[in-house]
Amino acid sequence: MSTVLLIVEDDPLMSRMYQKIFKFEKYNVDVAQDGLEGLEKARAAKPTVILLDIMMPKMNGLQVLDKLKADPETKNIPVIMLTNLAGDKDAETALMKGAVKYIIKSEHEPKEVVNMVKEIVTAHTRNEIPET
Amino acid sequence: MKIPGIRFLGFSTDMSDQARHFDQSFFKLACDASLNHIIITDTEGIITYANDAAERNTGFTRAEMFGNTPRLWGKQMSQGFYQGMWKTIKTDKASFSGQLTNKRKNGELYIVNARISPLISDDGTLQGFVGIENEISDLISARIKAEERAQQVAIQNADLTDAKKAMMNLLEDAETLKHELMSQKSSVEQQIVERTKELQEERSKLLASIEALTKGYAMLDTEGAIVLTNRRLSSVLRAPEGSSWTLDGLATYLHGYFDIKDAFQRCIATQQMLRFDEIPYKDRILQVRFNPVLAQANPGSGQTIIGALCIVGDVTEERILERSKDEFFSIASHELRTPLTAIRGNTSLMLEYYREKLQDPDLIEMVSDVHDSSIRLINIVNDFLNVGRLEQHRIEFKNSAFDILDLVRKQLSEYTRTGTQKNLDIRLIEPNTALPRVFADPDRVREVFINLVGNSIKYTDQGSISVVLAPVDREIVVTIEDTGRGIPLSNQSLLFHKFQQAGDSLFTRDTTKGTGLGLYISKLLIEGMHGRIWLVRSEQGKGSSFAFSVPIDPTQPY
Repeated sequence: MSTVLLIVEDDPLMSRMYQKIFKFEKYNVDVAQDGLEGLEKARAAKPTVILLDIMMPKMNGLQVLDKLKADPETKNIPVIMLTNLAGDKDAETALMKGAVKYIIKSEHEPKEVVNMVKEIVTAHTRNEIPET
Repeated sequence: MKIPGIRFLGFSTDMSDQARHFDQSFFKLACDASLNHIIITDTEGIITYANDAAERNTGFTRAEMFGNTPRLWGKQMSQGFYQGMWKTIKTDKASFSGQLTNKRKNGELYIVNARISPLISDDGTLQGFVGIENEISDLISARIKAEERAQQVAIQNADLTDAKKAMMNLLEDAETLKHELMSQKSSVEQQIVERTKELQEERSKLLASIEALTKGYAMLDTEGAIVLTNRRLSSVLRAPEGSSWTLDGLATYLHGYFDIKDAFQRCIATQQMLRFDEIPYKDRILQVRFNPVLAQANPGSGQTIIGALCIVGDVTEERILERSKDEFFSIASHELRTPLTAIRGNTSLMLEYYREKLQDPDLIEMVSDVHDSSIRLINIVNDFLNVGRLEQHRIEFKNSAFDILDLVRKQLSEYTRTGTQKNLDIRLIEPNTALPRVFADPDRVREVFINLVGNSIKYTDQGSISVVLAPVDREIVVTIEDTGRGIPLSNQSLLFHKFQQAGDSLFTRDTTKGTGLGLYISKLLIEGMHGRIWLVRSEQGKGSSFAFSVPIDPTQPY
């Protein structure tokens, strides 16, 4: 089963770029253009991992994160914050709310982001093995 | 005074006894009737005759007088006086007239006008003397009294004159005083005029200042009556221009937003300044301040409260600005980074996944340059934003105790692993002893370290970069030494300032080497963790040595 990745990103520049690299890397990529759509798609499709932006219309990333973690159906899906908000406080808040990683887009090449996601997915699915 | 002696004119020795008796009895009667004392002596002065008046005046009886001389009552004058008198009457045979002081039998002194004349017979021989004395004591005493009286009058006159003078003086003094008072009064008046003018000027200045305030102003007395306001007060409160204000009026306007009466009363009661920074008022944000107005009633006495000053400011714009300043960093970083990330990411994807399609080496170079430019731009944005945050103390240091040697070692292995295009010998000189843990923010320490090592790599073309760690006092000092190009002396002092590179001028800046904010940021970071950063030494053509220090964890017994 290929990894299903949900990219929640309102900026088409970013969205397209990350779609490309993850498709190159054989990920099954789904996209949402705002927080609300992201939340709906997460609930409906149960992706393997979610890349979640913060500054978005309708519902911001942190609110989406709250809802995801509050819902038993989605709370186990690893959420990686992928944003350009570089404030330490934002990162801290997100990690406290249950995000597994906080990645600042501008600090990393797309390939590095893929590698980080890969590591997390690997760790997460390894953890899940005993349960299944 | 010499008067010819008395001659017995008309007397003749051959007068009949009857005639002589007649003569004698009548003469005696006549003499006794006289108020003047009359005595007759012989040539030696022995008294042979005395009239009644002589008895009355001298107090001696005739029996006591006869056979004696007038010395009985005389002898009160000087010896020379009597000698002179005797010479006149006896030798010169002239009459003596003069004033004599005599002494009565009872011891009382009295003064007489005396005339003593020699009695000379026809043949010119001296027969005796006749002395007639007329007591003038009463006259004298009257005169003395008169003189005394005159003297008294004179004294009284003098007193009066003095009194008059005194009066005059007093009057003069009064006049002078009056003049002085007048001049003082006029000078006081003038002073009052001047002072009033000054006060009016002060008042005008103050009023102008108060009017020019950008904040609403209300001066209240202790009872809450508003003594003075400025026009701005009305506009701040969105009230009609020129509103006259009372505390109740203010309270009505602010009702539901701010309890101004309570604030006023608390200010008066506590005599403390009260400050309310954020009062939402309609669509504005107000700031209200109450200052007690204290005054010293008398010199030396304590201060008493005489009122309260209320300042109402509209801080809406300031708050919006502050908030936008806060938001600026987040938004700027986000908005600038996102397109830069797209440039960086997409060029990176091109180079990674479309390498075979990028045949032309120039095209590859161009895409690479775009990619590298985006990275440089991201770094510049980061530097600028970091400086802004650091200068405004918006960066929080997450200090903890950690092993700085471990951090340095890991970071250096990163360099040796990824390598640099330059063939530099980057090495850590391991300390001889174990180092205590430091207390700082490891991420920030790493940033500073990367900055210093990065600078060394940048400016060293060949040779080595060595890192030494050593405990000094309560700090660990990390020294980074290179064999690079060194820094000219003239630029050494500017190193840790904003936008300073060790270049010679603005136009010779090596823009490929960064913004010139690196050392400035490092300084702000390291000082934020109570450490220090400095240039140890630098010599052109030989290399530079930079160091920074981080405090040792105070809980460690080192």
